[in-house]
Amino acid sequence: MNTKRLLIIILLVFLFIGGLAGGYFYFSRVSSKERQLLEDKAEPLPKMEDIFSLRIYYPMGNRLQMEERRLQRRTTQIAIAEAAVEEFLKGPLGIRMSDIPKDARLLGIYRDENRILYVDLSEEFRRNFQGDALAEFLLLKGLYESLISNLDDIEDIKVIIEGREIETLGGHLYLSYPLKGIVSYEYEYEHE
Amino acid sequence: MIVPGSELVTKDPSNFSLKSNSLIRYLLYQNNDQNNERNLQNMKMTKGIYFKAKKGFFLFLVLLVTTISLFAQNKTNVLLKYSKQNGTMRIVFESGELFITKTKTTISPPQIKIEFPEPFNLIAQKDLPFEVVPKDKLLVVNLKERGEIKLLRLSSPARLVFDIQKGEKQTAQILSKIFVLDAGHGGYDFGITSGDAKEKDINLNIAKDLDTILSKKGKKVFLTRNVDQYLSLTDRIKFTNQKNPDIFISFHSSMSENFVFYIAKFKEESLGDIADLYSLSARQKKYLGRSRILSESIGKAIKDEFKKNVIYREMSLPILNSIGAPSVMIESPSPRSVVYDQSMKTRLINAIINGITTYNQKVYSIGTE
Repeated sequence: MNTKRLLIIILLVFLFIGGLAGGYFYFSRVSSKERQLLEDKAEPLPKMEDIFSLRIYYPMGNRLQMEERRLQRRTTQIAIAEAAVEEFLKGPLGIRMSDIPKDARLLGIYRDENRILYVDLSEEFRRNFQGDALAEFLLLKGLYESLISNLDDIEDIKVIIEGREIETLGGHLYLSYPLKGIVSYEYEYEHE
Repeated sequence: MIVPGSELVTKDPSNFSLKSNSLIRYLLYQNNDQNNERNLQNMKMTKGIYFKAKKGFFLFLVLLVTTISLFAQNKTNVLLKYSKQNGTMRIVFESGELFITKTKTTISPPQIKIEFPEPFNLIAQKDLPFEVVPKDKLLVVNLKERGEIKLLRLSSPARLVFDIQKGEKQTAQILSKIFVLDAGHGGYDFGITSGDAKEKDINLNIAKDLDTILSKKGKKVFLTRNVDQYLSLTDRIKFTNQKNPDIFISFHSSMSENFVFYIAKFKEESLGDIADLYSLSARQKKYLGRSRILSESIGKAIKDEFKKNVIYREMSLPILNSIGAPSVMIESPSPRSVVYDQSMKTRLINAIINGITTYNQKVYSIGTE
């Protein structure tokens, strides 16, 4: 009787160890397959001729600062414009507190027959802007320069929010007109 | 031991009833004596407790009086000094550095209100030529005559100095008659914020205070908004041009610690149809010269008052470009760097008034207005 019970226990122990070993081998094989699949999916590093650079202008104190961003080549003007706005909204590299409104997103970019580029931004671009007249001027000028300096054949830029035209971004400058007329007037300043 | 009732026994031995009474009394007395002793002891104990309580209460009273007097002595002393020379009266309040630094002052001639950080003891000479009313942390000085009051905060020793010039300046007068004051932002547009401080409120308070002072001087003053409401730039411009003012001032806040003054900017050459359309409302062009004088006059008065750098900028701002009057936009230091208490606002308003006076003198002397 005792020998029978002992045999059953030994059998159960073997079954348990066998189950553990089987499970380990099965899952390790699956994960290695997944890794292989992911590695297969990963694109090879782009060659040098597939890279292009964008000039992005960020407000920095009392002026604009240009940063060059290297990205994968875009072929169409709209795709370049999208990349320029997206890079602009990310803010300057290595700066935690930038003057770019937080969480602002690009919703769309359109071009009309008058070669005016419409940049549709999310509500956060207006809501999260906090600044004085100069900050507002530099923000709009930065966006304008970031687009104009990277695109050909564009006459002017107009910013719309959530698909609608708004009068002003921060209560100092008009946003109901295209940007060139607003940001082309250089401000001057002096200390007495 | 003399037994009560024993005399009766000696005097009348045949009187049995008396005798027996005395015995009973004697026996009772012996019993009472024991009780009396116990009572006496109880009385002594009660008396002891009573005296102890009395002593304790007395000690408590002494302690209370001492604490109150000590507490009273802990109040910070504020020394009031007064002098008069060549029509200028000087009132000085002297105390500890920290005490004076945390003091808030409100000047509204002929009254000066000083709020100290805590209750104080005022030490002053008698027969002052003005009334001094101390109340808790507040001290009110009621002058007998109106006059120009200047405040100086000096250290070593820390003191507040009020210089009172008899009578208001007669030489400098504001000649402009109609003013439009524009409090920037409002409603859901908060402007720059710092904690509870919102730019929209600061702008409105400054505009309202300036309105009060100018109205008292008999000027016609219009506010683009006098409550917390959103107002579009177009509505502000339309309202201002309807009033046809002699001076237009728009109040905003800067991101910096400095005062920033803006006047309009125009470009001579054409920028294309759309840009020209934007410039169509360039009513300011005609007034640009006077706007520059106005901006510099107020800027200098503010620089003199606050001993801070003032920045002047020219920018194509709709609220300036479209106004048909001498116009300036004043950006006060950021609410993140300055507390806009009554004292700060009063100094700012006085400086703006002085600046407008200077502007009037300059413009009228060269005959451009």
